[in-house]
Amino acid sequence: MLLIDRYAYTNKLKDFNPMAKFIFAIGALFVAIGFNNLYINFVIFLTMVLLTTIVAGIPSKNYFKIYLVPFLFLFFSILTIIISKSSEDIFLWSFKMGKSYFGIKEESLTSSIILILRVLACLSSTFFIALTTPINHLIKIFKKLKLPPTIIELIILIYRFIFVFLEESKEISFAQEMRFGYIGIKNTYRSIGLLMKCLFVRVLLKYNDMINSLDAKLYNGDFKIG
Amino acid sequence: MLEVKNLTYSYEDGTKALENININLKKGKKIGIIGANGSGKSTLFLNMVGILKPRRGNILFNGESIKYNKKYLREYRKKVNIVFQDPDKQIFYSNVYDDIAFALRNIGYDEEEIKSRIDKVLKRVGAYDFKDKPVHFLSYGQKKRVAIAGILVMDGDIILFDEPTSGLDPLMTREIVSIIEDISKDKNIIISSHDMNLIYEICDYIYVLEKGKIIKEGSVKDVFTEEEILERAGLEEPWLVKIHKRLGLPLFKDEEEFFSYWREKYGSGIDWS
Ligand SMILES: Nc1ncnc2c1ncn2[C@@H]1O[C@H](COP(=O)(O)OP(=O)(O)O)[C@@H](O)[C@H]1O
Ligand SMILES: [Mg+2]
Repeated sequence: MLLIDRYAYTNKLKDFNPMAKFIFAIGALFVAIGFNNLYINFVIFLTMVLLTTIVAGIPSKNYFKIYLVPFLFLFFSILTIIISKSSEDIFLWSFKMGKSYFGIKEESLTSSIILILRVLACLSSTFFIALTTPINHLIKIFKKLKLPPTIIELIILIYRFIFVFLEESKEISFAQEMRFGYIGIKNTYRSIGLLMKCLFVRVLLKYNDMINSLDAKLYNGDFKIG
Repeated sequence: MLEVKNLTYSYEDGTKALENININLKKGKKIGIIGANGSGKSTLFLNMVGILKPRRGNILFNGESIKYNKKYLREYRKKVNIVFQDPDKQIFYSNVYDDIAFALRNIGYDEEEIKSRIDKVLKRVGAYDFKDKPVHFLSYGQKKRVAIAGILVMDGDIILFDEPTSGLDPLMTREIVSIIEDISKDKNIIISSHDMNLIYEICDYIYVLEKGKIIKEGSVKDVFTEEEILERAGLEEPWLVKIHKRLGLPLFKDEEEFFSYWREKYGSGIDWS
């Protein structure tokens, strides 16, 4: 099972009114983007972290691990924003390369900090809803909000298939590893290619099975939830 | 020789899958690990081949704790390997030959050696006749043989079979059983299963897993005559044990033994002619 999913089903806020949680998180998201105020965003971030770790009881070590991947992206985008080039030394901090200076300007530093906090506020709000609300509660909310049925259906199916995909890819790669598929670069490339081919075939097969089982359960184009 | 010592494993999400497991391969040549679905059999096997790393405890190979670096694991897996449950997830090529060659090519054997090894292995698992058929035309049981061949070709010392007969029809089951019996002549094997008749016939020493704990170990006779243990583990007595206990017949090791006993005692039965 995926960690995020497990927490969504076991945290202390899971039975808290899902609509309230949803409106709270989406509201925070809009405020973060709309006002784009440094201090407000910091408060949002702090509130969400405390709510998720202390109130909902999600272990903070694992909570912050989830930030790692988005942070990688954030890091590289900030890098490109924060460093600029000029022929004169107008920087807070800089180094010289050839005839030009590379360094950090004051205004790019402030705008980076603003950006980082905005990202943190948005991420923490999204994680709050993702980690405290099971998917079937979310689906109910989407239905109440009159989201088009096709979208809801897609969410349900994609969600289901993420797990099928992860499970299958794990098992196939274990089997490859046991047969030395990941020794050296050449083998690794070949194994990854084979893994993708196998996954594709397997997921297509699963898809067929799923269609059949939906038919058997008298599916008529509408996922009943609740 | 392989030994599992005080092994505890829990998954990342907190599921405690194994608790304080002790297993010693010295106890038998064909070891059975029995337990209901979700009792931890697959997790145990993944720990034993070094894919998962125990939270506590050790896997000892020839008296030494196994190491988790690439180099060590490569040598280790040449000796200790596993046939997974679902053949569809361990056959990567659409050609039988290429698939069986996968492991050998990865560690750089030359093609001549590979060919002679594969021919031998194909005959041993009875897959020689369909070696040129595309994999997706093979039956489930035939795929199972290809999967076994893919591991057997490495010629290790210990092979783990995770639920080797699940999903097979009775005839295929018999054939896979005889392949495993044959392999066990020159290798140590460990089989996990919840098919009690299978384990009863093949294995000589048994561990019973229940919710991640070993609740009983012992020789086949010791374990299978303890009804409460099997019941607690969510398992059933093998039918040969049932007729032993309910009908007062001797305890037979396999069907054949029972039939010849019966024939001797009562003749060949009804004359159908
Ligand atoms: N990837 C995983 N993440 C979390 N829990 C798992 C995972 N795989 C298995 N489990 C849990 O570990 C326990 C043992 O599973 P498993 O070893 O597959 O049992 P068996 O092979 O005997 O059916 C079960 O409770 C199962 O739900
Ligand atoms: Mg299993």
